[in-house]
Amino acid sequence: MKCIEADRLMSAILDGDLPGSPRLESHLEGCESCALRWEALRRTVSDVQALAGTPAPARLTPRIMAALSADAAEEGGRRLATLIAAGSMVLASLVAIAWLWAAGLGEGVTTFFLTASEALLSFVFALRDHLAADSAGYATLVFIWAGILATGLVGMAAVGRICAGFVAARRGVGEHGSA
Amino acid sequence: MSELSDAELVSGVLSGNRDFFAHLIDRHRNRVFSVMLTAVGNRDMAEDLTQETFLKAYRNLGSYDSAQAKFSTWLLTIATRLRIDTHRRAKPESSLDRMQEDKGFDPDSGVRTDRGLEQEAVGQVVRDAIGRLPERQRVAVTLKHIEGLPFSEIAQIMGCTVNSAKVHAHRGRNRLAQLLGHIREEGLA
Repeated sequence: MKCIEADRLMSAILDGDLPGSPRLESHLEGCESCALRWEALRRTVSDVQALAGTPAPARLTPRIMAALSADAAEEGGRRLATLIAAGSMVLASLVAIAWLWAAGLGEGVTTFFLTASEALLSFVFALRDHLAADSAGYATLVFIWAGILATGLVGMAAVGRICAGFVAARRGVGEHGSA
Repeated sequence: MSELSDAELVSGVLSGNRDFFAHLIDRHRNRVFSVMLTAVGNRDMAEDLTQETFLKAYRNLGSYDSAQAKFSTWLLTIATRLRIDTHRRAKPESSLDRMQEDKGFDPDSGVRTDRGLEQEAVGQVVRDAIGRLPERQRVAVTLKHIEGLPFSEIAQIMGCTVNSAKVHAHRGRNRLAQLLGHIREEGLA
C-alpha cells in the first residue's frame, strides 16, 4: 500500500466511516513516517474531543429569558411608534383632504392625496421593517417618522394653500366676468 | 414538558407560550456554549454569544422548518454564522491569557477547582490552535470532533456538500496536528 492510500484510510477512520483497517495497520508497521503521522492525528483528535462536554452555566437560561422580555418590550415600543406615526399621517391626510374639499376642489385632487398618502404610508412601513431588522432602535425610527410626517404636513399645507388660492382667484375672475 | 419534541416546543412558542423557549434553551445551551467557547476561548464572551444565538433564534423562529432540518442543526447554523462574524471582528486572546482566566472553573458555582488544571491548560492550547485554522476548517473540525455531528448535518450547517465538509475536516485535522506538534515540541502542552 502507498502512503497516500494510508492517508485516505486514516481519514476514513477518523471521520467515523471505517472502524479500523488491517491493511493500514500492516502498512504502519513498515512505514515509520505514516506511523508517526497516525499517532499525531489520533492524539490531535483525542485532544480536540476532550474539549467536548464543557457545560454551560445553568444561569444562562433565566438570563436569556430576561433578555427576551427586554427585547419584546423594545419591539412593543417600535410597534407603538409605528402606530402613532401611521395614525398621525392618516389624520393629517384626512385633515388635508377635508380642507381641500372645503376649499371647493373636486374629486380628482382628493383621489390624488389619498394615493399619495397610501404611498407615503407604504414607504414608512418599509422603512420601519428595514431599520428594525438592523436593530436601529425605535427612538431613531420615531425621529425619522416625525421628520417624514412634518415634511408631509408642510407639503400638504403648502399645496392646499396654493390650490385654495387658485380656486379663489378663479371664482373671483368668474364672478367679475359674469358681473 | 420534557417529553415534547423540539418541533412541538417551537410550535408552542409560536402559539404564544414563551416559557416553551426556556425548555429549548435548557436542551441546547451546552452545545451552543461549547461551540462558542471553542471559538472565542473566553467564558464571558461565550455566554454572551450563546445568549445572542438564542435571541436570534427566537426572533427568527417563524422561519424554522422542522421538515428541512433538526432544531439543533438550525440553531448551530445560527451559532456558526454568529461566531464567524465575531471571529472576523475580534482577534482571539492568546491561550496564555485564557489559561489564567479559565482553568479549573466550575460553571455554576463560579468557584475555581483543582479538577484537571493541567487538562484545562492543554484544552486552552488546543482551542487556541483551532482558532488559528482557516474558518471553514475550524467549523468542520469543531462540529465533527467536539460536537460529534455526522457529516450530513455538518454539510447542512456549512452550506456545502458532505464531501466538501469532509475535505475541510481532513485539512483542518492535518493543520491542527502540525500546530499542536510544534507546541508539544516547545513543551507548552
